[in-house]
Amino acid sequence: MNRPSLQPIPLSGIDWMISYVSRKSRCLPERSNFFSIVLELACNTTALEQLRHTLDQEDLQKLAGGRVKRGLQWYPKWYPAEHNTAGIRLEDEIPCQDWEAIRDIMLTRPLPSACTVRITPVRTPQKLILACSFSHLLFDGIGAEEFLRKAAGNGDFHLAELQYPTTDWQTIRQAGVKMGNYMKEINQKSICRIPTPRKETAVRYHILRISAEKLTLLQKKIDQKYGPFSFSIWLLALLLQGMEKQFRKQELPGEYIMIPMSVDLRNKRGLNGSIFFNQWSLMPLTVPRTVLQRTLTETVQSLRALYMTALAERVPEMFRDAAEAMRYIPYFGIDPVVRRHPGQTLGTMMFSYLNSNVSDIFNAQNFYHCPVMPAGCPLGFFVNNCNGLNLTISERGIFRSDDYTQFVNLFNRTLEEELQ
Amino acid sequence: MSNITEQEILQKLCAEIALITRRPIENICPDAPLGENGIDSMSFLELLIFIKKEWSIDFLSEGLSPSFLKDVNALAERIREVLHS
Repeated sequence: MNRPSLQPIPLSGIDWMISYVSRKSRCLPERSNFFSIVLELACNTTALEQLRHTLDQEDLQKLAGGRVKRGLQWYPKWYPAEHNTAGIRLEDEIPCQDWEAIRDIMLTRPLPSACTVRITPVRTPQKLILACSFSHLLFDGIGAEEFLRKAAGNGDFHLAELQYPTTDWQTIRQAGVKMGNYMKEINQKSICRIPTPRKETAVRYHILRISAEKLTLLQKKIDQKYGPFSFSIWLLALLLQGMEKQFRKQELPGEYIMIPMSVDLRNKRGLNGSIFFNQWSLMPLTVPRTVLQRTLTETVQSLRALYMTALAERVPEMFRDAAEAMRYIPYFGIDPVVRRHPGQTLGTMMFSYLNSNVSDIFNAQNFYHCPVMPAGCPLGFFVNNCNGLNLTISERGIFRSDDYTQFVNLFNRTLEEELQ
Repeated sequence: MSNITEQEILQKLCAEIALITRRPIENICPDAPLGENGIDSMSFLELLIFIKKEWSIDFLSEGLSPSFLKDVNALAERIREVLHS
């Protein structure tokens, strides 16, 4: 499909949600850094020169400098900027002795608001790294695919042709009915209510990195203890048990904890060949808090059984369709839902497990969610697995400082013990 | 159902793994471990659900020794054994 580059691009429901979240996040202390992702790419000098040449394309800059608009249309579109902009910033090379030492700086540097992609070449004695910060507005949904396809030009990215989701009202209606029933069931339960943070509270965060070698070792040990392929359930159990301890300490009422989700669009009609959706997310699931007060082994078993049940009931599929339907809902329709739910755990805790195959295409070294979180979200667990695991634990003003440190220390200690 | 051959089971497993991992089916290698075929802990659950629906075998409650997960072939062989038993 050789569409002229300056035509508006139809967006998916995920893009639409992200644009909503970004708009909301502008009232936060980190407003200039709304929700970005850092992709760490290995590179060489020739490739860097080629990239500079590609980025000189006016169309690409217009595309990256665009914005989401909906107006009176059925669904939102990405409108490339009318004039040439600096939507993508390729910065000057930074020499440094050790990439590890400046990685955290790269992760937390604010992304200027007029810029959707910033690329910083960092040269160490051993290698050249491109630290690419993407705004979620480009990274989520199918926006990233479109951007990368354009950025690739005649390059080597080999992206498959991207199709756009078409409206299948019958599927959307069915998903809506199922979702409605599911949510009704959830609303009847007594969900633990996490206090909504004050908007001006800054985020505290801890980033934990596990190398690919250590991760393999850890996964083997976990598999031996808890059965094959237990790692992410074990990780979730560990995090939730720690959280449950803190919730009990604060005497938060409610019989269940709800684990929200980001949406997995793999295998979604119309997105064949996309690369950024190899993301298995944890669907909204209510977990009895008593389950989290048992031994870790028992918690892992219970959580696994809960996920199996939800999978068998096709909960992830209905949420994929619901995500698609989301693009037809105007902001004022999203607002009441979001306002109603922050009082529950839903929408206030994020657990994203990205086991991306992106490395085959981009030679990605690693992949990080920035610790910043959208408004109304007091807890964030962002887990990415790409040549090693990185886990960002963020919180916004709901724990006392020593409680948060205690939680992080306990988590680190358990990981270290497992690795010994 | 018990007349199904190991080859047929293997084909269905590979097709499902391709669907779950979004890889082309020709890239699914039956001799390679599940992890190398792109299966992770979450997609493994999806695969178990598929096996339960397709052949009514609940490996999660019946247990699955690591040797059956050596590669896709070994898993197909185990499914055939259970179906024929």
